[in-house]
Amino acid sequence: MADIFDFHFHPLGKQFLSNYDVEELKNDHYSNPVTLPPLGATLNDLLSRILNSQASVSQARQAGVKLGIANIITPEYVFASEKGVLKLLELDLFGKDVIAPLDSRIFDFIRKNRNYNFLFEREVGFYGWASTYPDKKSSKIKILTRKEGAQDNLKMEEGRLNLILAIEGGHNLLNEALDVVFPTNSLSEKIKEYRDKGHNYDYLYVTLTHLSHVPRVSLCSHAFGFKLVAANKVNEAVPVLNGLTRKGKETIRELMDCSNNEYPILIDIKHMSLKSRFDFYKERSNLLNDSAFKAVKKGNKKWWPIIATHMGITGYRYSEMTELFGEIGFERGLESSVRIRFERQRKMKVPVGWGVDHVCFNPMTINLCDDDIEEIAKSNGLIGISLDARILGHENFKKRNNSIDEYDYMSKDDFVRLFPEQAKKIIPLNEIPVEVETEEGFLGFAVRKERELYLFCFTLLHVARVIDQLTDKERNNKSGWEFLTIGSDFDGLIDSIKEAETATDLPSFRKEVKKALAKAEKSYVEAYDLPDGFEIIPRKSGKLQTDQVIDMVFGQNGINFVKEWWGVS
Amino acid sequence: MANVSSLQQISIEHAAKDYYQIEDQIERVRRDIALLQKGEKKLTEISGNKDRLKARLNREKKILSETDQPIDILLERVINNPDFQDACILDRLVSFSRTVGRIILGNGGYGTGWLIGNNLMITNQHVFPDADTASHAKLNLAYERDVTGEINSGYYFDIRPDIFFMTPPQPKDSDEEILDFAIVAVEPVGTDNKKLSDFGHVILDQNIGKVFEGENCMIIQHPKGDYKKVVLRDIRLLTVEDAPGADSHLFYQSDTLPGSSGSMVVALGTGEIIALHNAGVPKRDSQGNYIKKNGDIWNSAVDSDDSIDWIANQGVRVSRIVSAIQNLPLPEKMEKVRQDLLNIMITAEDSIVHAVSSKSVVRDSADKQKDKAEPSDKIPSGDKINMSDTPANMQMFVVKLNGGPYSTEFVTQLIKAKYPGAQVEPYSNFNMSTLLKDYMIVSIRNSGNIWDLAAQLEAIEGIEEAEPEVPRFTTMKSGEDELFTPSDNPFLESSGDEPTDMSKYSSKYFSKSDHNSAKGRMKIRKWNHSAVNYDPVKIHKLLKDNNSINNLLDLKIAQFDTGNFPHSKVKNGFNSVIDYDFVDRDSDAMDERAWIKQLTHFGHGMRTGSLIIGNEHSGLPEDKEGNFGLLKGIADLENEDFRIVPFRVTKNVILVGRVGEVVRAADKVITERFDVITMSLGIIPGTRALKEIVKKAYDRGVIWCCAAGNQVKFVVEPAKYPGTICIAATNPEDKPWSGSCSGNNVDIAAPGEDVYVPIFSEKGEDMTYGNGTSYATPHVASSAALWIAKNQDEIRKKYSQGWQRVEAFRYCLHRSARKKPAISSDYGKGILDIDALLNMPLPEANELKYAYDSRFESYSTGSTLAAREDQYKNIANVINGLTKDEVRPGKKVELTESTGSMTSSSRSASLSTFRNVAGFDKGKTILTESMSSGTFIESWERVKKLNDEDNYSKPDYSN
Repeated sequence: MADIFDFHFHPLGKQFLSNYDVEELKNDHYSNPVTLPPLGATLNDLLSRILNSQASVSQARQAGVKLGIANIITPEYVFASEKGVLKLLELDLFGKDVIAPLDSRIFDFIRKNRNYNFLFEREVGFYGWASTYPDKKSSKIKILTRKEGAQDNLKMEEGRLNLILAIEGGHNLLNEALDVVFPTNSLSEKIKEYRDKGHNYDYLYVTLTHLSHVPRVSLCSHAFGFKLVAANKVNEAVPVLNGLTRKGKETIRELMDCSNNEYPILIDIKHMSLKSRFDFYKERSNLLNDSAFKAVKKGNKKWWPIIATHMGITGYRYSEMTELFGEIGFERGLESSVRIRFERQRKMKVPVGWGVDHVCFNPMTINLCDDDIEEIAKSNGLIGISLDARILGHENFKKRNNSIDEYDYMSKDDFVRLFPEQAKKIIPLNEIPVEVETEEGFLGFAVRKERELYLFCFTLLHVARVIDQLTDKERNNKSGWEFLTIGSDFDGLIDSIKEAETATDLPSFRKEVKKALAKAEKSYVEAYDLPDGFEIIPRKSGKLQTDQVIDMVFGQNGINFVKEWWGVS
Repeated sequence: MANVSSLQQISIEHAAKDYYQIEDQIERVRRDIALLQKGEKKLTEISGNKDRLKARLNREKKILSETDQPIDILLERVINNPDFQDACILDRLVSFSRTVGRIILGNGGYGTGWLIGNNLMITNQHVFPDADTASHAKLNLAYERDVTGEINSGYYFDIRPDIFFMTPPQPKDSDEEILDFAIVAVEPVGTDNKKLSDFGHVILDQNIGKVFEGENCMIIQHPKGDYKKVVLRDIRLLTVEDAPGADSHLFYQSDTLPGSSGSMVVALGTGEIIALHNAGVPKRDSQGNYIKKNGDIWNSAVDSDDSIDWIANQGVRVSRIVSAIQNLPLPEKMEKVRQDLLNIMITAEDSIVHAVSSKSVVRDSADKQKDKAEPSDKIPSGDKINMSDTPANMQMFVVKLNGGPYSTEFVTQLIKAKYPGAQVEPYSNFNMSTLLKDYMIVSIRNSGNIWDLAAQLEAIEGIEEAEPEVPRFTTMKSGEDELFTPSDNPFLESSGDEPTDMSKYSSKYFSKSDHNSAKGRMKIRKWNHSAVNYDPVKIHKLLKDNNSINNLLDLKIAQFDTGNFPHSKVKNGFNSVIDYDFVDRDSDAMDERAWIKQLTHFGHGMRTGSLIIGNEHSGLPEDKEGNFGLLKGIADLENEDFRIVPFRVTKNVILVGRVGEVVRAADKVITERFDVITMSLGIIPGTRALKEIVKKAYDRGVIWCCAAGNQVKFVVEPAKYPGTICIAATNPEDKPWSGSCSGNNVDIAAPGEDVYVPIFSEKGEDMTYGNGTSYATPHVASSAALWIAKNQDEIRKKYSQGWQRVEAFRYCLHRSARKKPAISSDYGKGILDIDALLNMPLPEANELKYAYDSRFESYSTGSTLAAREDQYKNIANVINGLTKDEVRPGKKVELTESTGSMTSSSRSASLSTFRNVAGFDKGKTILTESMSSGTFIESWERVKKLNDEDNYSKPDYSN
């Protein structure tokens, strides 16, 4: 069985959230999936899927994940606030008598104290403990690090779940309580500390932002990603900043400059708004040209790979996005953000059943547009494809009527700079978007499982095609398929696709993808008006190399990347 | 919930079936219409139904009220002048249009609906297939563009199928004829308290003859939920179904798109509503496949509806709808509604006369007048200041609670019990944490005196103080003469004549020869920089060496003023993303008249802001250019932006709308950890909430810089509160500006007289020399920012409490001030010296004094209602006198008008007692209690006396 690589998941995340007393978690059960108490019919299917463990250590091991990037995330205030998302889940779902599998003390801490770094380091410590339980040799997981010199720390071991840590959200670096008298709001100390040779742990990458605006952090505007709750109830969910801030630029430098330190931490562009991503490419370019900035070298060339660890794609170029826009306006109380209605237009047929069903990519700007994909390829980076159904583009089945309403938020500053013409059409809006019911599908039409499977295939095909259109030199003499990997985001509170609900499904999912890919290619070619017989999947003497590329996508691409970047063996 | 689109599919299929059954007939009509349009056929020759034609012509007769004309004369009118109609038809069409709204479904879909009776609307059944769907939907009326292109988002009304819902039962098989309509009740009141009756409703007419084949139709709809649209082009009626058992529909031409479900179809010949649109008819081939416009077969999987070749539209005939309304079974409780509806409709029993002469759209007579203006607290431009009663008698109070567990809920209940209909909301209603938890806004409908009601409220358990929300006054005067009147009037800020002749000064900041050269003039224009010892290059170096440039760039400065204003001098200086307009509660804190550049007197916020963020090179012509912002100068050297955040807390400069605006702005600023507030306005009198929020800002370390005020002879609020930094103004000769207020609570003086600032004049963008403590304040605010930036690390190490930062700043300010003999201590401890300030070592914590220290000061925030009422009235009196005439202290003014209603006897007694103990002169004429308590001069004296009683001193570190 070929190795599996996961660019982004949270193997101990749910455990950590289930108990504020980390000590109580330090026992044999740490590697087991967290399950919800049996509540029968009162439990909403969707929410139970989100809250059940998807990639606990045992599940990941079972699946054969050889190397995974374990992300630490402390929930931001928006999750913990009085009207926060999880609060809503709890009340909606469980009523007040039933205990949710999330310890409210954690959320109390966040609400009142808000020293995110405190919780962050606790969770890191938990991983550290797990990697030495019962002892360093026979623990189920191994945490790789560049530090402490010895090659041993960078060697992947058979039979164990090899992990590298990463940080999801710049707020995790904020080591200051809310009520400090004279706040510094500085992230620099922690960055310095974590990069230091003597520090116990090492991090592959950091995501500058997450799903909300954290004023004390303010590195860049984030991409809207909250659908479960009306944005006007949770203001921080919508972006307000102007692209990449000055502080954001400085932070990037602090993370990647190798002038004084040889342990740079990469920046993951996931969760950054479209404008912030563009600003980031520019800043990266500036830094690479700055003589005072020392970059990592590959051979004698500077190398700073851009990575996007758990993405979907929009399927469009930035220049085409305005064609998708419906109504644009701002809601009362959220005047620093613009709400955009999208109309998905490019439909790809799902070659199942009567062939009348179709799917669309999710055009929200949290996903990559073609320009992003090209930048990543040019930088010799890597794209992890998410297994979150919504990110990929799952939508309400009922809307067969070819026009699907989707909405997104951007900060006003971002929108005005990205789309100056449309900015003139911004109007005040009165109604708040209503969530559409989901339906699982019925006889005669493709069920959710298949739609998502094909969506995933289409995603791969699209990325590969876009990259392959670059010149050889631009894509570093690699095929588009080599830039793809899996970034499941398991246990990141996602609604994972049916074909891969948990990590244990990954091997069978891989098989399904291999089976479906060729048919998907045909459908994709048609939908994108490409010439008949256009080839995206590589052929060798006429034979499809599907198995080979998919194995690379599911495993080797990611492992190779980390090997090169970190020297992992 | 039933599936909308599948029902719509069924409708389309039915429509197609019906159409193709009478295809031949329709084709003939089409050909005839083409001939008609070429002039080769007469309109009356197209219809095949003689009865209909006759009925139609009869209507024409009635319209024209020429009952004795033979029919062929009428025919001629219709034939030869078919295009001419009475212009009044436009009114009918407009009134129809008003009743049309868009329906927003709970699942995100859209439709169109229109009002047909009292709180009743009609749309297609496939839009509201059942009551449940309807209950989740909303009707959005007035969602349209107006004549100027402005967009109205309209009003939203809930749908009430529980009150009335009527729709024919869904067909069991595909052959059964369906009447695709649904009538449902609508909530009579919608968003913004808009009455549904304002939109009127149509009256349906069951009789035939409203239209015949070939005549023009008009469709009013909301296509795909877009703004209200009409199709006015050549849309002709194709046919009316007449076959027995299949006579429910008519067909009319389509433009290119399928009509929106529920659209209203109007016959333009008679101005009558003829149908409810229900489906488009797609072109079909012999196999029944739908055909696209380009001729290909339509594939539902990949093609959108828009690509179908829609060849006709089908609508449900109004006459059939009325029949159905008469006959459909209904639950008992809805019967009355049905009867009422039928009573207003024109049924077949009614004679034609009635049909034609009745108004087709009914509006409640009370609403025939234009919508009343929104109650506002805009002060009319006349002399009268309406203080106590807002129009519509909704009186607002800021209520401070005692606090404690559940006090908000407890008091809310008590208030609502005592005053039914009262509205209670939190004072600060943001979606975030607030320091004003113990404050509420209470609105009560009351026709009596506002102070009486305040007294009643204060008697309620749990309420500590109830402050009537009445407009307060600022120390600035608006109006054209702001720029031109001499500055010896009290309460005025003026800019002198334009431009000031600076040669009148013998200043050390510029020489005589400077007046004659361009370079010299530039120097004169930034004399204020020299006066405060500001050298941007030096300061930039200092910060750079200290590693504190980023501290400055990250600093958050809030400006409380009249808002943003787009003069090129201040371009890119205001942060327009995170500002917040507290007066209008909307986003852009732009002066209302930002776009009307002829008005020169707006832009106070722009002028004061320019001293902090003004661009050195703006769009002005060289001979006008000059001066720039103190912090912009530093940021420029770093090639970075610098912005301050404007909070518009007042609509115009004379009246702060309500003090609440300032308080709420401060609340936001404090919780968002701003560092500095610059406030070039003073307020008299202040309120409890204002005093408390100032103290809270102080405790959190926010440096709040306030203008001392102009001309009042005493320092205004909040400048006089202990927690703020109070600033007086000087001129190019380092002398105090004669207009500047003074007192023992002034901290420092800074340039304020004849400072070069941007304005708008008839010529457009311009600059001039202005006067006021308004301009002194931004100098100090800038210096506070620089000081914080430079000392940030040390402050963090040395001090453990927020207020210590403020006091340390005050300490450094006092000690570094440039002492001049001309500046008496009443104008502060000296003149601001930024260079000395930045080089001053920080005091130790034990050298600092807590301004609100209760051991040494008797500082109270509360005061009796009588004191507040009296003070308010006296101040109002003074202001009123001033605005009525140009009055100077000493001049007697008899005030004769009174505003508001008479106060109660208990208030009179209370006030009388208060005045007694305050020692105000007795025996003078007391005018009507409600407004004034004496003549201008008496009021002036009382204001001064009360101010003296209520005076606070600030810590003094100079020595």
